Amino acid sequence: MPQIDTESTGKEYWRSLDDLADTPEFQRFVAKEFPQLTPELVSTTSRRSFLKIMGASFALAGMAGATGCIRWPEEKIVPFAKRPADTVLGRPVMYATSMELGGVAQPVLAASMDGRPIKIEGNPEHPQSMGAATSYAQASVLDLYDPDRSRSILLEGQPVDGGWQNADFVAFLQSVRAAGSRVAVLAEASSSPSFARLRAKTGAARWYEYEPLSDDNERMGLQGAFGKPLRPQYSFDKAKVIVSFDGDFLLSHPASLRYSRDFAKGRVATGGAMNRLHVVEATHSLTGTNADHRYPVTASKIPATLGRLAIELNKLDSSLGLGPVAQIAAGCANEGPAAMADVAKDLLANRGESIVLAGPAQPAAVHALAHFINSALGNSKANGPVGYAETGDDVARPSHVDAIRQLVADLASGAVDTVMILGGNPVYNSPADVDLAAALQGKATLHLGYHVDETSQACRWHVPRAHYLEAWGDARSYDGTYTVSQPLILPMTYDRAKTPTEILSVLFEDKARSAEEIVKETFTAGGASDDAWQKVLHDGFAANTSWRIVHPRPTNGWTGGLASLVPSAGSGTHDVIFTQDYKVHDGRFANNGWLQELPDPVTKITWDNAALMGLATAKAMGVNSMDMIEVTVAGQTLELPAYVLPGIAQGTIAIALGYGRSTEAHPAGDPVFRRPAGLVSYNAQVVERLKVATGTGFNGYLIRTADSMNKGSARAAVAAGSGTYRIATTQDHHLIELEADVSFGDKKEDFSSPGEEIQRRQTDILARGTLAKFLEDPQHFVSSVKKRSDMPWDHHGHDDHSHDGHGDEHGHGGHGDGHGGHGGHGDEQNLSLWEEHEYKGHRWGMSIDLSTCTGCSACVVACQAENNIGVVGKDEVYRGREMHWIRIDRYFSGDVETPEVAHQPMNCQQCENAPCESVCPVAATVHSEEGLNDMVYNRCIGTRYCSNNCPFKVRRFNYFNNHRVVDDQQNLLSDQREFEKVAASGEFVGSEAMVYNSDVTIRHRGVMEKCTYCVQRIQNAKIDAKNEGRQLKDGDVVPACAQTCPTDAIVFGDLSDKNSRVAKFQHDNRAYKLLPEINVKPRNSYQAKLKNPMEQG
Amino acid sequence: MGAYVVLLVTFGASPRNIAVGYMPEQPVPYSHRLHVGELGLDCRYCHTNAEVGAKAGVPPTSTCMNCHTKVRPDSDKLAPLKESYEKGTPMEWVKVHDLGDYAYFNHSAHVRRGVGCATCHGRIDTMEEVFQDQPLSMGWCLDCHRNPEPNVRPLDKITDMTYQPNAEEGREVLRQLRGWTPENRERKIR
Repeated sequence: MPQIDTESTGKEYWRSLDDLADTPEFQRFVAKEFPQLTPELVSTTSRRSFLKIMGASFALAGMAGATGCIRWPEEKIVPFAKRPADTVLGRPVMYATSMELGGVAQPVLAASMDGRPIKIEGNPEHPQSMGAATSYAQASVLDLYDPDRSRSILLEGQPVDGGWQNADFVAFLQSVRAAGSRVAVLAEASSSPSFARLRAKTGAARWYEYEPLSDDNERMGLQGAFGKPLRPQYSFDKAKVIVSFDGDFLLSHPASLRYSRDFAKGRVATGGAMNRLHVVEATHSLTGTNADHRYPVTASKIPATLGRLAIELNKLDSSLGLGPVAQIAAGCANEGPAAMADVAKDLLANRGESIVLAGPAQPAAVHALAHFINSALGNSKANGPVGYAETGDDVARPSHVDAIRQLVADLASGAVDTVMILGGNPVYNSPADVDLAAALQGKATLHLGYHVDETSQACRWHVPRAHYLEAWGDARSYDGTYTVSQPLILPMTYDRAKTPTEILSVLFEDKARSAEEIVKETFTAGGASDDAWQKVLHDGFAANTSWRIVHPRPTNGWTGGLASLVPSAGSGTHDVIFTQDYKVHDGRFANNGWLQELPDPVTKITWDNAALMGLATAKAMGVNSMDMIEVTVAGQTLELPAYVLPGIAQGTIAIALGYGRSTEAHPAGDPVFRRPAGLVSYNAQVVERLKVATGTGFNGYLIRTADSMNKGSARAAVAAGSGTYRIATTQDHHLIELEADVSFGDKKEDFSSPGEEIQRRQTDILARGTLAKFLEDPQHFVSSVKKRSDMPWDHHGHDDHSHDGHGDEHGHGGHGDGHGGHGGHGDEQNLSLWEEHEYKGHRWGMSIDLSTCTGCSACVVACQAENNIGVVGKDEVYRGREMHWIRIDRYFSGDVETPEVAHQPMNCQQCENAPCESVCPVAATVHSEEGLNDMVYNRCIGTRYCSNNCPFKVRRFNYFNNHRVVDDQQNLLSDQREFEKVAASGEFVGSEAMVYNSDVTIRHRGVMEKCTYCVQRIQNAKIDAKNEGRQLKDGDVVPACAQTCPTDAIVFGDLSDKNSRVAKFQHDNRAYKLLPEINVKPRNSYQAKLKNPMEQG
Repeated sequence: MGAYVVLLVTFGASPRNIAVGYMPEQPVPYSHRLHVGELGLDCRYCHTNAEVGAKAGVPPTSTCMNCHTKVRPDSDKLAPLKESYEKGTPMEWVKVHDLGDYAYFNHSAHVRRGVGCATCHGRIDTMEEVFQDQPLSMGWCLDCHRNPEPNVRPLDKITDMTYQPNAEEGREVLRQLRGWTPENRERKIR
């Protein structure tokens, strides 16, 4: 593990601390180019027993062959009895719908293939999506088919006869209505107008709203500053300087898609201008990785740092009106980094065109001050970067923390004895010092949920909840736009699953109504016509229904909380913060294999969370990554592994929420499940129902107190624990490098160390620079490409050559390379061993802009959904066998405590001189006439030569049958007895197989696979164009990754069309291709990453 | 012996020998000879998807019942059909023309480019029960893709069961199709 005591190995770029320190482990991992093949990592079976097993398998195969190889298995055609009008078989129909996440609608289009929802995309017409979707939304379709979903109404863990008609259940529902004010409804945050309408019918019932992650602090802060509930709405495209205090507006924010797109508009350096992002934060957020200046500040001092910024601003210009504030916050004058003075200068130079924002975890006072500064700088104005939406929220609503406390108090006092928990998992994610499970004991309780989870176990009744793809609903997107959701499929449950809105109707309306009726009534109540309703269903939202934007001045008397900015010397040694996880959110996606296996965009950890800390903190504690530590907050101790992430502020430990749902890692009786003793007799089988979530990570909620939710951090005592824990990260996997020992002919290059050569190439792979330098020398990247294609072993100097022959195709649309590509052997300088390809039609290509790529990883999940990519599990990821066709390489550079970060998406480069093609002994990977490196799965015999020969490490091998579920399903269908047995047991087998895209082959064990540029989309677009009798036009083909990219960083198209966007991007003066010196001529080009730091001095 | 095995595998297991003639039993003895050959139904009356989608599609029960609520409604042979129509449960037909799951065959791309139904499916109008007429092997696909002229036909003859494709007309069809411009699209498509 990393021992960076040698401080600097002189590396400019490094992917991990192991890389930086060049530890023996790292060298060994990299030296074995394919660690996934290493015998010690390949488990169990010895060679001898393997041969024995194989012998037996062959014998069986032979038997089957005698009868079975005549034809493949008989298949049935099962047409509709009555086909719905306008159905085209085998063509997905897109429905506009939305997913509500934490009270905010995420507008999406859901693709339904012959009745199965298979893919989620953003709604291109909705202002909050513009076609993009988050990884949460992309992966949500897998949750629909989760075999672990609850499917029946349960009483104390046992399915009841008759479901909704069960006499006991009906009696229970009636008793709820009769209980009046003794009934509590514990709901998730929701912006659904229909839900709000039905809430009005709940009569005397008490209402509590709880979310473990919410913008309550922001709401309270703005309410204090402006005297009414407002929600800030930023226009990042109108800002030249952005200062974020712990605000992760590029990924965890509910409006991250819109914000990312707007932010990216200021990152492409058109017209010579770029915005500048300053980030003050304790952990390393995705927004922090995209900052031009990042200031790591330990969590408890972030408020004081904002105070200092106010003081600095007041020093520079006392006319801003910040004087009184500076006086109250005077104690902050020496807190935080001195660079706040520079930030203040930058802000003042961009008055009216800057944004100061704070993250949702920050206390209310920080939000109030941030917006006071915005107002003082004139940023809040019509058509300015900052505005406020009038949400019309209930001013009197207590914060979520207060609400859950109040509920427990009311349960204890007996004021409430009946609790309806409508969604969420509050027993698991309520504050550590609020014991909801104990309070629920002995009460009449009902839980509506997707899974039988911790909360269901603390409740008497459990009702399955309908997935958003199964239900009618409505909600408001972040800007207030009225957005609807509509079902694509009936609920896949035994007892009809319902939404919270429908449960309210069952409980409190005279006659239970369907959500469809309720939602339609909500919309048409304002006198809207049926046509308007049809249009809303078609579009997915009602245009121009966003909240009014206002620009009020802060009122007097909001400064009361400011004194609290100065950190008080609390107990404990470290600050602990609890963050929204980029994969499982607050834990709600914990049973989703796609998200669990997605490498975290910043840490690259899969299947786990950890206590993230900076190197200095780890050194002081004497621990390394994966050593167990003990974190104690308010008397509760959590044991979890440390993980060292460069750039995390000294003294801060960051724990992502949503993990630790294990029965194995935490023995029975452990408070993880807080199982109320004696109440519910669940058997172990039910507890283990969450097959994916179980055994992943550690439960941060156990030490997250109510106080820390208000303050944004907690003081903790931290100690080294005992033992280690294996974390599977992908950070050092698939490292691009060439053989360091390059010998060519009799000239042998003498590289002083292999590391040096890797470093030299790393700058080539990831081209970057500053805006100032770029403006000085706009041809910088072009000429450096030219220089680089002089091979290190070829010192003849060809500087007078045009750089046509380096894999670029300047202006010669329709031909393979700069010289026309008529079967020649490349140009004089870079002779090619192979005949060049000749192109008569399309030549597909991709361009990826590293300046706008934020590293959010939505493309990785989109690709997984589109291309039926398997999930391999933690052990296999540890062996380097993850299957993602596109990965995001993360590079650190610079100082280990304040590193800069760059993200680089890496998919198959579709090389023109593809090294993979020339080594395949069975021609399983071949060049198509449109320039793709096609994989012919049926021919592949699994030699993996292609993968060995790929310089970009983008080929993935199926070591196992990652799609076993398909076989399971087919075996069941062919074995009647087995089928009946499974059907009787109530198990759902193979439901995940329904999510597969039927346009893409399922790859079996022993087959190589890789990015195809979404060839199925290319072919479908071509057939459509032909059928319509037209030429394919630019933009007709959009691969899944490009489709979902929130910043439009990935552009795809036809290089033969000189006017296509991709052709223009590939010839722009930031464009470069990878590894020009090996002359593979990639089809992908990248655009160099530009940063815009302040001028020094 | 070894040579015998090679010969047996090469020729004995060739799709031309094992696939052609495959005629599984169907739940209802639907006769294409009667409906197409005698009554003259157009292919596209039932297989509506062939021109627009990848799959030609087997018609829903409701298509059958367009006529069979009037024509021989009480026939025993139609009982499964009637049951399907009344209960809404689908019929289960056995697939005759079964390509590998890795083959991305698209009906619309062929039907709209001059490949007639009979070219791949044979003289359906003479089949009492449908059987596989052509090998549908990869080599067979390539035979036509490499030399399409003698196999394509004018677009108004796509469903014509008796038309004999010939190289001369085929060449003209291809010339017209490949010379597409947006202006002459109407002429080209139908």
